[in-house]
Amino acid sequence: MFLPLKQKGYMGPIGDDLPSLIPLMFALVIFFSSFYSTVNIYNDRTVDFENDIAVVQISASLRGTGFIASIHDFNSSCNALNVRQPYFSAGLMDLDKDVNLFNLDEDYLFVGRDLFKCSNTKETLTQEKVLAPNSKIVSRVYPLILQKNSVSFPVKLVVVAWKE
Amino acid sequence: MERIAGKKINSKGQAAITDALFFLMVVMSLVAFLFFFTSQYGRTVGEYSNSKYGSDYASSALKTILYSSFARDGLPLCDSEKEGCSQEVDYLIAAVKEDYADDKNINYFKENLTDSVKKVMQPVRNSFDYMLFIRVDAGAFEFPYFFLSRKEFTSTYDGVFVSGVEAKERNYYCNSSQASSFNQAKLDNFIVFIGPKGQSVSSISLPLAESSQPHEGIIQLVLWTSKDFNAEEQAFKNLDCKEIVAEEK
Repeated sequence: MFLPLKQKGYMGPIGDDLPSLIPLMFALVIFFSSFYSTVNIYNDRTVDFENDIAVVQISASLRGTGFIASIHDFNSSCNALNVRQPYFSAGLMDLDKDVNLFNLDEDYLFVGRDLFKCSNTKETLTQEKVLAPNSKIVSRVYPLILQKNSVSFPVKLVVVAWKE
Repeated sequence: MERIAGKKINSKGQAAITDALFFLMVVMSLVAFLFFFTSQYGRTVGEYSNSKYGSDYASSALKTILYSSFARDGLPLCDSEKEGCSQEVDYLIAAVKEDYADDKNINYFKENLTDSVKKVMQPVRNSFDYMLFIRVDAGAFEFPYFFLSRKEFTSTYDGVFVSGVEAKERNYYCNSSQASSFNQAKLDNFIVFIGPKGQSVSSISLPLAESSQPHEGIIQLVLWTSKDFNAEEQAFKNLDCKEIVAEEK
């Protein structure tokens, strides 16, 4: 029933290895938690880069030569875009106007009946979407010239992209 | 015999712990690598993206400034021929060239150009400081127009924490004294000091009233992330800038 005196430290083939399991488990927990955190950060940053690249492509296409002669000019640049993800909303705005992400459609420039807006979604940004833990929003602004009846007005191109 | 067996058994236990500690060490080095990878991943791409935005903005802004319309009669610009709207519309840069032609300096349309620059830079005024200058290569370099806008920061200390950081925009015309020994080397020194995030340059030909041979030069816009330095900073002092006081009203 009892172990012989000289074998009192011996706790059986598994029991003897129990102390070594503590650093082993500790190592595994640290490794997997840091691996999980690394994968999360990697994915987050990759999404950020995808949004950044999309915004650069969209703005480069819409800016063109930096001179927009008419709504047809703007629309043809917009139609040439083939971006499905991320969602984006872009348009021209007065230089003085502050960009309000929740009210973009109303702030875009109207000339006559023409709205200078280009978007790949009917969705709009809401406070819930912006405040969501995984929300990724990139916004860029560029100055441009808009020509109206031979007069060149400085305006700004606003591009906002987001992933849901 | 039993004694020898007991020793072997104890040795086996120690070996298992040593193995586990070695494993822990290997895992720790892997974790250190993961942390290093995480901190570095995408850093260069992020910096490149910001720098690209700076240069894209600078080139768009310069084009916008050069092609903006300007009302010579001082009336408002309209997109239709309404009463009270300007009938004499021209490019602002044409007026600036005309201004240069008579005395090789930009005086009369200086404010109009400054207003246009400030308007175009308005969307990024909280992120960037900037300067725009025209440099003419007429034997020695001359700078008939040199506008600089920067922010000066003030803060208060609340114990060990900094609180109430305020940024005040200050605008300057530089190279204010023509007699100063202002030169390209000093300008280059300032550009290195601020570490620009975006630059755009365009060639410009400035005609002269007295000669059929125009002066060739450049118009350059430089943006940088707002940097906190005081007016006594040597690189800035070298630019010989004079604050535009009327701006504070």
